[in-house]
Amino acid sequence: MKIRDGMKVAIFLTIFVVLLIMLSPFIWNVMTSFKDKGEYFTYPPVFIPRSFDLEHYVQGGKLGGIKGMRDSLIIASSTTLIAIVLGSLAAYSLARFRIGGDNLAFWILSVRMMPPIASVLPLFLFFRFLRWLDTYQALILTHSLVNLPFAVWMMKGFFEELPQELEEAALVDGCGRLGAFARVALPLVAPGLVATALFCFMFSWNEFLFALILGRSRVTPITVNIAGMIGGHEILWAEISAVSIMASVPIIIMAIVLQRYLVRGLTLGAVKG
Amino acid sequence: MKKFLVLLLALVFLLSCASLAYSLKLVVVGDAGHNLKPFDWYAQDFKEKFDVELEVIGVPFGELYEKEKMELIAATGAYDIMIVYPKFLAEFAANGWLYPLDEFAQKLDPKLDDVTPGYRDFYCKYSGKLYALPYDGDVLNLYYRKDLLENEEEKAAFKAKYGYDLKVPETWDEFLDVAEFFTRKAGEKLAGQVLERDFYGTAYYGQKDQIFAWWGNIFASLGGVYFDEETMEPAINSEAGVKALEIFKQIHQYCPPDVLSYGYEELKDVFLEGDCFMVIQWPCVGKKGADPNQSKIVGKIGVSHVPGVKKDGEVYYRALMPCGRVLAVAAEAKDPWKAYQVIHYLSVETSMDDVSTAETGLDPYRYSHFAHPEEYEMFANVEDARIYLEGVQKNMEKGYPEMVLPGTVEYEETLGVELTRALAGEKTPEQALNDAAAAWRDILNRFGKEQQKKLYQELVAGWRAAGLW
Repeated sequence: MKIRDGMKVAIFLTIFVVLLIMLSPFIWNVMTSFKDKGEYFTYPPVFIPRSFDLEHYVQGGKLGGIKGMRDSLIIASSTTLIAIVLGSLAAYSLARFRIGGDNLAFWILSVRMMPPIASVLPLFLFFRFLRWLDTYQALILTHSLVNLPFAVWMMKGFFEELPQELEEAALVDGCGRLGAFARVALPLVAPGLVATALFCFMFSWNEFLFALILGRSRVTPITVNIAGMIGGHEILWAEISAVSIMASVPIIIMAIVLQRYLVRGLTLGAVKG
Repeated sequence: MKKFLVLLLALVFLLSCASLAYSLKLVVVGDAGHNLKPFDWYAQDFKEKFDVELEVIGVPFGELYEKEKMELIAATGAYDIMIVYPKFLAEFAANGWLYPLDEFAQKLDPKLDDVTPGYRDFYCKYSGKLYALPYDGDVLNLYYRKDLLENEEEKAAFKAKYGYDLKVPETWDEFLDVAEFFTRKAGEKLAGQVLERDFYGTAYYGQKDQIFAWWGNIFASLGGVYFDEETMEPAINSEAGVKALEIFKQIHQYCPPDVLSYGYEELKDVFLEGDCFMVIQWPCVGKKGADPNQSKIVGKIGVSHVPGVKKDGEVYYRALMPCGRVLAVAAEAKDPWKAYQVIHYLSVETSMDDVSTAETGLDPYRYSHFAHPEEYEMFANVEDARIYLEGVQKNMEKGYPEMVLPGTVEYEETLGVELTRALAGEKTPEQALNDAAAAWRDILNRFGKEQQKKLYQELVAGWRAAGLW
């Protein structure tokens, strides 16, 4: 009994230490969001700020943080929706009908291998031609271009692991091909779908380069807004931390809510013969 | 039918009036943060005086060059007024992306005679034409701890060790002595107090974008030049360059261990937190040092020349003038004349207020800015403000100009990377500077050697005429 208790304590301590190490940047950020000037870089460092008012959160929101969150939300949600709808359809056809043989799937993935900086100028010129600079659609389309291959590749793996017989049974029972896909295949890969959606959302939420170059003042996603608080002669550390924390909240909530699916999605097909 | 026509005409008339009453909207772009504040402060003035509304776009400091350049290359017409660093000016002007302002300057005098020569002649002009008006005067200055320098115990200890009186270092040799003397470990005493943490003689800006200027202070005072004027061969790996880097390596010993990662903020903080004896920094650090919210050494800061080299009994000073901000009008501006009126208002009418507040990072650049210490209310008294302004002005009048050639951003960054390698001990000073010179040759050829030579010769002739070369 004692040994079991000792084990529990050791496990608890290990988890605590690992969590502390992994969460330390986040905890530091939370603390900094409450600090005042003169408390950022001191020796010994100030861990606990003098006051815990929400002044920097309010200030960060006024400096464009709220607008940045709204813009990011619009772009990331739309991108995720496009990537998931088109991605799962494409992945299904690749997995079931082997369209394009072995090469097409790899070719789709290769779009993600190109560093974003290589494509940003052509995209800039393209959107200028369309008069789409500084618009949501430009960023939604660009993020979708990058997210779609990822979604296709992820979803393809999930569909491939699904026994084909299930859909064949549905077809025998009178379902059409699309019906079998929507009623049988899709619900079964739902955890994978959720995991893919979350990754697509996170990519779009955290993306900086395209957002900087293709946006100006009407569209300023949160990453650009935060970077804008780094001035040449002044860095608004507390506001940066406050807005960073605010920007982390939607992702954390999504991850918690979707946790059940996420774990299943990530481990789906982890053990394969 | 008649009634309908009358109504229609009235509607057309009203719509025309409404469109006439609609102010012109100009878009301003610059590095985000408190240096954009004046555009907001005077928004009402712009509206009333010039019938102009401004939309201000703040771009992250490190991304300004790419962002401005991309919009200019694509000729999107996105910007009307641009905050530009002088190091971008040549490239932007040479490509025809900026609107020449000479004609406007004749109509509405920007009072350039009041501007110090470095800013007037080189940071606002390109190939003889005026392309910008000054907005922020940057030059490097030596800040030191007055209180420690005047401490009797420290003075006696210094004299006993080095054989001469402790004073503000005038030369690099003295700078090294003072830096070495004040570098102490936690537990040792400093001015009678036991140190709780390590104290350093000095520190410098170690990041690759501006480190060239901290090496450049030494290089320039040793008589170094960027290129050979006749052959356009890079001269950074000359005897002066290598010696400057060797001195810089010695200085490195008396700096915090993580100094190579220091940018403006870290360098400012190590000094204002009271953790080092002296730093070479931009003018705004003097103003921030007087603010108790940002500084633990209020009232203890002295300002002086960036050290130099003694030649024939005289000290030869050359403080680098990196960064700075100027206001330009984009070639594709919707209304260049109105855009000029706006930048003129900021550079001439409001500049005294804008450079004498701690709410911006803007620094003095006009003789009139230096002549009114009473305006700098962040200092405890006028005398402190006067000492600060005199220190800055001395450096500016002997300033060593940053290059204004197409490609300057690349020249500076490649040099910065090699300097960092030498300071980190990866390369010898000679090897690092030879590699930097090789990279400079490539950049030179890419931008066109003959064209660069012509521009460089023009620059040097101007620098000489202004007494800065």
